[in-house]
Amino acid sequence: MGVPSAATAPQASTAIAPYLRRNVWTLPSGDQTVQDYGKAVAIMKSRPAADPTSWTYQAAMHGTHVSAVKPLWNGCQHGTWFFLAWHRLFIYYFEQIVRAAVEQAGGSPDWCLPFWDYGAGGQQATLPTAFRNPTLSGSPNPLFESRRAPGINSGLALSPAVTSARRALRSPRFTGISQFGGGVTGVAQFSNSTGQVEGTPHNVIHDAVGGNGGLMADPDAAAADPIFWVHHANIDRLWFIWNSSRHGDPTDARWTGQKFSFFDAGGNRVTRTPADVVDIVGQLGYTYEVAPPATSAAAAPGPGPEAAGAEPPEREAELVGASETPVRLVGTPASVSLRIDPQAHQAALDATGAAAPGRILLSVEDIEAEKNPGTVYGIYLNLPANAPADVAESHHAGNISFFGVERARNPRGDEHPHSLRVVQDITELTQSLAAQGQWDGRHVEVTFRPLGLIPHDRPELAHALPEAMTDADPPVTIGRVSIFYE
Amino acid sequence: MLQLRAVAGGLWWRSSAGRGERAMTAGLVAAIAIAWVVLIIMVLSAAAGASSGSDGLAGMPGMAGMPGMPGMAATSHTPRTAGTSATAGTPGTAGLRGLSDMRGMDGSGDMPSLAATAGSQRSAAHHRMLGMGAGAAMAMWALMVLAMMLPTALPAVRHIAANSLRRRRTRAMAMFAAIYLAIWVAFGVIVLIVSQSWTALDRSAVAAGALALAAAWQLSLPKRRALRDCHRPSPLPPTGRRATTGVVRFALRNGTACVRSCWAMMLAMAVVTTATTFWMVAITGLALTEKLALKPRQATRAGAVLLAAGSLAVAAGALT
Repeated sequence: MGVPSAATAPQASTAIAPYLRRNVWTLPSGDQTVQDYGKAVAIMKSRPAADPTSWTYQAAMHGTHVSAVKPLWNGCQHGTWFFLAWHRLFIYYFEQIVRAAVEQAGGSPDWCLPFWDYGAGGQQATLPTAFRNPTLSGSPNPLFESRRAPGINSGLALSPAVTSARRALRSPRFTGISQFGGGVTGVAQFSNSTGQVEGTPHNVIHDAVGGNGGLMADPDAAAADPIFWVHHANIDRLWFIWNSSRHGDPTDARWTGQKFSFFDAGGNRVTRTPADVVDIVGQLGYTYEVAPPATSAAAAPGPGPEAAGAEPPEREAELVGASETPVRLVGTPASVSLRIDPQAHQAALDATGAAAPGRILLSVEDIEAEKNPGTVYGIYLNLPANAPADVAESHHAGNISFFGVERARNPRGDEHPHSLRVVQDITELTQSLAAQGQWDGRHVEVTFRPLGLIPHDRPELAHALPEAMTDADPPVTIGRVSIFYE
Repeated sequence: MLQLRAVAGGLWWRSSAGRGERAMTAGLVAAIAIAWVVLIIMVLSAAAGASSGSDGLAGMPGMAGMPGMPGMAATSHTPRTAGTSATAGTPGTAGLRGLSDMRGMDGSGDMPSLAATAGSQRSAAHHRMLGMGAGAAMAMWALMVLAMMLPTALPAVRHIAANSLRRRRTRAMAMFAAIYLAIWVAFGVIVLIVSQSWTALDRSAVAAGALALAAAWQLSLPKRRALRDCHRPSPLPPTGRRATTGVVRFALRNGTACVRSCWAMMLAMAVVTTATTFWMVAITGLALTEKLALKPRQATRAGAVLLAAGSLAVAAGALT
């Protein structure tokens, strides 16, 4: 196995078999990957907090509530086109630290982070069993964490509405509004140009697993839950899959050249850029177990859908309608209506000379909350009142969660604040709704319905209202819901 | 730096902007540019006037001695020339003089000392001049606000444009800019009124004090909060009275946050008596960097150092 050292990784040869990250749910019987992870976590937790390879230090590099910050703490990148690259590097160096600890504990020198493919559905949509039990043969289980959403540790499943990466993987471009990897921003912990894969499944899984007050729902605590890393291995895998189907990463120097620093297994500071990590096999020496479905397409010649790199669309998106009043979310369904302004509609089309908008974007913006309620909402267009789960599915436009809302509102240090914003491409949805006579291009009713955990053998409940629904959530205000044409 | 440039480039150009929006944006940028040109011409001519004697001021009635009069102070001479008394208001020097000078500023070039304008000696003519001087001072202040503070609001103007329906865009941008400037002008009125309280003080002392205050403000918690509030959006409903209210609310929030953030440095700008061009450029650069940089702390602190150094330099200059 090739062990690319920090210094030589970008030149690592693809001829050497890469490390293999495998599905946590389908490991062969007798495989020690998860047990070794537990042992390594225990070792890391026992290290002094000032040691960069300690559990506390590593988690704090993502985010921490501790005010006396040490080097490279609070570095996480969200709501930005740096999200994927930063987290790829973060878990890559974490994996090296864990691997060293696994070896120290007498485990395999080839240890790799497993990934949690919740999107596979069924039992795989439940928390891997090794993470659920408070104890492990009589002593505390290092992979267990009590501060998770109720039901997660007892084996309830995440809704397919929350776990599905289908929308994200269909994004044609890396950069832009409602595209795969996020909008062009500077280096800030929380901006508001969230990419599709960062929204769903990334953000919503954080909230669905963490719930109200849990570690995973708080960016300043999330990485202290051992499942964080297994979740992020999956997000990283989704980027790999998207790339493998002929989708290119940004070529803009502002992206490729941005430096980020981490600590390797020896506790040495290493600095890398996104350009160093776009090829996981060739540059970082690892790959993922299941061949991505589009591998054959990857071999086909021709430029990817984003051959043009990070080039923005020719014209900025144009506002054509917005809600007049804010919406308050407290844990129960809520709706707001808006009207696509006929004049603005015509003006937007006239300006581009097109007969129909290229893309219709639904923007949920000016989202403010003191505290993340940990509730995930589905966004539905023109949904009939009290619609059953199966009807709701055909009106589903995407999800919204509030992961990071506290930090966005009250950033650490001297960063500028943001209110969160979630943008969904609804072009295809409006077409299918129009075919059913439920979209007239004028009147839009946007409904937010909470999505709960479900039994793993009842996927038909994906869009069902949670049984334990209350209106006692910490309130979230959505300042405006608007429609843009692009 | 790369990011800063990118932000600056995107400040006012929107690819989907209509004709009205482009005209409005161009108008705002032109207004800023003209304000700079006018201010710099004033500085240069005042410097020329100062070097050829106090009569140079006569050509600009009503501008000498107003708070924030850049250029009037741009003399390379020290404010104290031989033979003048220890009181401030040295005849023939072009420093920023405060209201007392405005009262005395009648274009004669022989400015009365502070004592001459004090108390019962004020004549009706003086009062008339006060009115004129105050008006000119406010015009001057408005010019400075336009040149120095409006650039920092361009991202907000752009935000308004991007989030308004096409037919309301120009109106919304104009409304925002007007309210934003009005808030700064209102602050100028307060400065003008308050400035009467320091007419008896040595001008260099006032300038040094104001610069020191501005430096201290840079490092304060309220300053940090204010700078953050400059970046908080508020919902902008699309049509009708709600749309108007939305723009007004956003402009009030944004404008007051901006004044809370920059009031001290602009107050210093109003009373500095030397190197006014330098301060105009430096303070504009500082305000812009603070707002545009993703992490403004370094800029804020560098600003504090600069202002503190300025305060010391002015104080040292006054003592020699």
